[in-house]
Amino acid sequence: MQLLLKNSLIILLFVSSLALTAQAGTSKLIATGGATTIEGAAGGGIVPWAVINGYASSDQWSTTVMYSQVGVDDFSLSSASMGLSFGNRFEISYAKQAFDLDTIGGQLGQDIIGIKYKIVGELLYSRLPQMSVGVQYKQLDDFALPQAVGAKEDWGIDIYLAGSKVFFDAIAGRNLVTNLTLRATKANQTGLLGFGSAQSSDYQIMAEVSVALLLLDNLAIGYEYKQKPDNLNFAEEQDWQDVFIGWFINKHVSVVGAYVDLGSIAGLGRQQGWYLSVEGTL
Amino acid sequence: MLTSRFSLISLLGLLLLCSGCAAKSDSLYQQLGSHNGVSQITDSFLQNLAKDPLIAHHFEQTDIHVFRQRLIEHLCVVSGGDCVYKGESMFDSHVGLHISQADFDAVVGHLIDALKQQHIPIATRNALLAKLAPMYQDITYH
Repeated sequence: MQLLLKNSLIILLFVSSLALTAQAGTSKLIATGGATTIEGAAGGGIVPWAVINGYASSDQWSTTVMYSQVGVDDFSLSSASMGLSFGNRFEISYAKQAFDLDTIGGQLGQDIIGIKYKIVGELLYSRLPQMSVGVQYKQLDDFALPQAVGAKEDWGIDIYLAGSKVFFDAIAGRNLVTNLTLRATKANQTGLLGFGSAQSSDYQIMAEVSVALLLLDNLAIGYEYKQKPDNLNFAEEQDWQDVFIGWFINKHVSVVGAYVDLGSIAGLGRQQGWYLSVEGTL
Repeated sequence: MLTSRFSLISLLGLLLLCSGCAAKSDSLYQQLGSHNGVSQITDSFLQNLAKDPLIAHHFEQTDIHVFRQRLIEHLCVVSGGDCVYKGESMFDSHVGLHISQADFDAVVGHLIDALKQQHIPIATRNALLAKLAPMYQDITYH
């Protein structure tokens, strides 16, 4: 699996460099590629949307790099990702996460390779929402702690179906972006605490929603909610939510700030704090 | 913390609603500036299209004066103005032109720029886009 991961990364880097030399396209409208989630897929901060990252429309390439930092009471998470998209249809992404257990001590981390494919619909132009299917392969760096607290596997695969739709002139003349994602997953704390447990190793379907109002063409405020499984006996796992502001400065740089509520993590309750991400797109 | 966050959002919402309600009594055509406004928007739009190599080649065989007149009529009808559109349907006028999604996206971008150049407020712009966006099905890929 490690070898597969490295090979995939090399292929991604290689194709990205090809894309850069082959003149990336930017026909899509500003903000329509969304931001990038902490897992590397295009979306909000924690919910993947049906949108394809970057600004490539049909027959165009686009690449995206993102760095984000989450700081809550007892933990911090940094996530670096890169993505490549083609034709406003395919998206491939790689994310590296480092999760610091500031209070407990220690660090966890995982690699996430994601693929997203737009099945049907258009975000802006069709009555049918844009629908995409995505797969995320996740591999933990170090299994010792997740295993000690009852996780069954050090890797897992999430599969999701996402629908996204922009409603023009929806609220006070502003455009509203709505998203619903259904995810089949075994991940504990999105995989940072491993996958499944002795009691629960079946896939569960989780709902994730995200809404954003575009106050300006390039300035969005929004809310996200992410339902999560609760597999581990040692500590209750709760749903995540955040309120965010996204500023798409231009088609090459965007910044997202958020107030996040991650609930209880590893027995430490009320994990609230901030989220900041910076993104570059070609 | 929770209460202050939600009251901030409610306040923003109220502000937005009030800025939106003032213009609602006029028709969209009037908000675009009626005949003069729509003509100026059309001219800005055509200039933006002419500067884009992705788009300009689609107009090599086009009589721009006729095209301009049809576009003004079309925008007038779409926005609820009292005009007659004398052109072909969106479907018929784009048959065989092989308009891709990238072309369509770029054209929408140029229209938004033209509306901004003519200082059309965001709510009016979005109301017009709401009426034009569904034409994607009739314009692309045939």
